[in-house]
Amino acid sequence: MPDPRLRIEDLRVTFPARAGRAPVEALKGVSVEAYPGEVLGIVGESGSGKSTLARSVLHLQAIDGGRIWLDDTEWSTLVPAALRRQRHAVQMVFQDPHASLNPRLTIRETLAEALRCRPQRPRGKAARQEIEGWLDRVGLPKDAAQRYPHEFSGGQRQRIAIARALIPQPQVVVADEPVSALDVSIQAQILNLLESLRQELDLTFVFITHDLELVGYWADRVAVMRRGEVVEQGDAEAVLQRPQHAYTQELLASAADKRVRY
Amino acid sequence: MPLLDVQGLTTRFAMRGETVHAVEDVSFVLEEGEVLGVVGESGSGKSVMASSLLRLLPMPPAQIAAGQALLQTESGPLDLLQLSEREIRRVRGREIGMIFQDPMTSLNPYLRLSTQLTEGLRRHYGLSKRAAIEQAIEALERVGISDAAKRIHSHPHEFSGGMRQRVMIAMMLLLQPRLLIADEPTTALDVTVQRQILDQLGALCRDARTAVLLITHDLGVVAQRCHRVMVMYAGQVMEIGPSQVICEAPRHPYTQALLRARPSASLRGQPLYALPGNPPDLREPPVGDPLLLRPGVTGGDRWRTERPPLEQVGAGHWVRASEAVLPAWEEVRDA
Repeated sequence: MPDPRLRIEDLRVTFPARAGRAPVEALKGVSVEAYPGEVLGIVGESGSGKSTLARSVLHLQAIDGGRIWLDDTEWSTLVPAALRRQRHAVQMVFQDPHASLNPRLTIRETLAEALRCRPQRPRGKAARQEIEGWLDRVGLPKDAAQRYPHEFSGGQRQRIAIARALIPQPQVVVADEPVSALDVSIQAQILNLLESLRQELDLTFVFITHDLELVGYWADRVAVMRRGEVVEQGDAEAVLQRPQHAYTQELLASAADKRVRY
Repeated sequence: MPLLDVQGLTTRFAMRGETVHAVEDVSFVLEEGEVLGVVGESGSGKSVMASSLLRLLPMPPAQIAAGQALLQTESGPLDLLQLSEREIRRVRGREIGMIFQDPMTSLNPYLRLSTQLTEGLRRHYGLSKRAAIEQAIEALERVGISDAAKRIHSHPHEFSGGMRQRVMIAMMLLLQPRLLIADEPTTALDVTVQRQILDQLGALCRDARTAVLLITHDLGVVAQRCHRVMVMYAGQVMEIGPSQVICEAPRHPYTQALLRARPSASLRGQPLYALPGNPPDLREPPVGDPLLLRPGVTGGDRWRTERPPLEQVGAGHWVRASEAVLPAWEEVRDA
């Protein structure tokens, strides 16, 4: 087995006590690994800590213990200057592209900003070509560049968000419920797009979702989270077909309840 | 006689000088104790259809342009679409219950549950405050809220989303409406909670013979929980029939496309069937088969200028006579 691209060791995050409430241990020592080019599925219900895990990897959430490694770099302890230079390596796609795109920027401006994250960034004409190339790659018309986020449908906005995440040339993409807000036919379009980009660019995905059917379809390996802990992890097919932990079994039973044979 | 008989429901919106044809000539019946699933993607008209029946649309801009919706009540059939504002308000809550995706649209954040759960009982059934509270506590217990006698005095914000939806179901248990219109009631919930809520909805229609119109985008919910299903696209009914038949052997090409687009473990490593393009702009409603406007769809020329009729293809199974041919799998993978 190759070395993991992303290695999370014993990650701990505690949210401090708020008025009248005890501190919340959002992550109680989580260890997971994502290997180069694979899709690591993180499944769990609300409050399981899966989004906190994502935010920690993105440096959007301070951690209280444990380490995160990106290849040989200790990612979680990078000082701000070093992080600025390397931030491009880990990018994120959110559930709600409406909230994650700046409504005041044209698509060109949003993508140009993403281009500036690259270590060697193209300028002028090369930059323009790069942006247009990406619009085409994610299936948007050329004239999309001049337009604003509100002029696009949910599926198109998610295409823009994907372009923005991939333009910096990341190694790891953290996708937090990237298709959950979309209609089923649009969901299929976006999943096909993500998969073709993964193959083409050899990307590693951390794919966070509550949907076991999605994990069964797309993830190579899966970690099942509950209340800040990973209760089970392994090869996605094995975990979904022969779940060992009672909670995984319960999740699968609830999902099986909605299966369609067609 | 069916509990609800909807014929030719047509709802439009007048927006900035344009007309959006949101619901076009929708007809169906619903029997006592039956669960009819309504599936469709955003903009298919499923929610506008439900809100038209409940008369919850702001008019203007909405306008119910045609149709009839006869609900059987103790005092005889009522046409929901013709009732006065005052009359429909009486019908809502007593004859027709409502559950929405976000329970906070129905719950008042300022009132304790004790007040909200007993209001209808007292108004519609004339119970005393004490008797109503007792019943409400029992209903909360039945939907799995522990310590109900204490928690009935809480405000809605003290509950999680799943718990609030349980509270809504408790309210339905108390009011026992003949008809329940549930618009994406479990969409925002975790899968284990979804299952519990759907179990409780099922029990409600079994025990109280409540008929449920269950609006959802989730074909899985339909397959397992609904007796019949109605598939909507572009404001029109594409297919209606027994849910098991439709989920296993869909006849309409749009239903087929919807089912094929679903990701599942058995499709691992294969691209999903992603019908290209988007649903039509309902400001210019399609004159013929709306599916022909999707890129890649071929054939069906017979229905280019005329709307295909609904044809019966099996017991209780009706399909719009589309002759559209979906693009091949290889053509849509990179769409």
